[in-house]
Amino acid sequence: METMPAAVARPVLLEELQPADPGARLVEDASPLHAVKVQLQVCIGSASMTVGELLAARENQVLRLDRALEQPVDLLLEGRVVARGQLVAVDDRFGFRVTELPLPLKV
Amino acid sequence: MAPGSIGPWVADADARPLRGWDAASLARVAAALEPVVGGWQAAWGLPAPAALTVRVADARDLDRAAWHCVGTSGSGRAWLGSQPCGSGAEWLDSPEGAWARQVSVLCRSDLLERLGDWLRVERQVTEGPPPPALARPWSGAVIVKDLCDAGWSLVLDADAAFAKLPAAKKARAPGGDPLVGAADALASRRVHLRVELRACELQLGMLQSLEPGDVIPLDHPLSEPLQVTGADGGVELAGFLGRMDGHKAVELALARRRA
Repeated sequence: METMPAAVARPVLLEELQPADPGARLVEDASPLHAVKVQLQVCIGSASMTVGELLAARENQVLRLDRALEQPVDLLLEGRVVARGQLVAVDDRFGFRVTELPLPLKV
Repeated sequence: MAPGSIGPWVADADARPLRGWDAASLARVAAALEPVVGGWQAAWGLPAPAALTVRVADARDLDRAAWHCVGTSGSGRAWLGSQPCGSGAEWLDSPEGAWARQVSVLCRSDLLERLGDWLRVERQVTEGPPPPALARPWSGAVIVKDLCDAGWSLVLDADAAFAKLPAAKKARAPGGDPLVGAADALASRRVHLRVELRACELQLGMLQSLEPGDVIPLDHPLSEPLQVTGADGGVELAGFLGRMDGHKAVELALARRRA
């Protein structure tokens, strides 16, 4: 590695920064974030059972969930419900039809 | 757990019994020690002091005299401490008389031998003070002071002293609960399970533009079971979606192991 004369290198002096009144918003809306991918979960329902029942659980045993058939399912973002809807089939896969959204959903 | 394994455990050798001293136990140690000390005093023509007093040693006790140890670590040890020359009885510890020092050494060696026999440990004697860690609130050493007019002290570590006490009966506390396994102890604890489809990814912009009626295709085949997971992620089962008594339901299936 080549070395440089000590006189060429000079120290970097950092200027003291003072907090000032906030200026204009840097991000006016969420549009710069539109391309960000987020992970969503579709929660069909839930159930609770004791550890004893869980340890005794067997294959083919039926577990009734807390949601009635006509109740919507939840679409979750970071563990929070951002939409509700119906579970549908799209070709050979599940799909989620939106029925209920917060107003507004925009961030 | 095997030594060297990773875990929150410590080596068995690092754990010491949690034993405390009470007045009755100290008195029993003194009573057990009296014949040994009495025999030694009689053999050397030493005046027998009043009854031996045994108490828990503190750090100052271990920091004073010159010490000789009999016994080895782990077997129960005793330390005999003598005062610095000139501070004890002159006939025993006089710096002036060579014969007196000789007698003093022999007298000390005899007591250490008797203690070794009493403790049933090797008679090998080493020089050095008791470890400072022996002066501790639990399972600490005990000390007997003034074995003779020269002010000799005797320190017994907890193993040596407790070995002289009658063995405690290993009886279960009256009304003690029977032992149960961890699974039985937790059997009545409730676990919250969530039934979910495989997670999907969506651009934030698309999520924000959703409107009622829109359909999001999910990457979860109809033929595959749903995920049944514990609220804390500790349970991972699978289940096929169905209905039961007007509710959504899942038929439990073996969960596919993650690669």
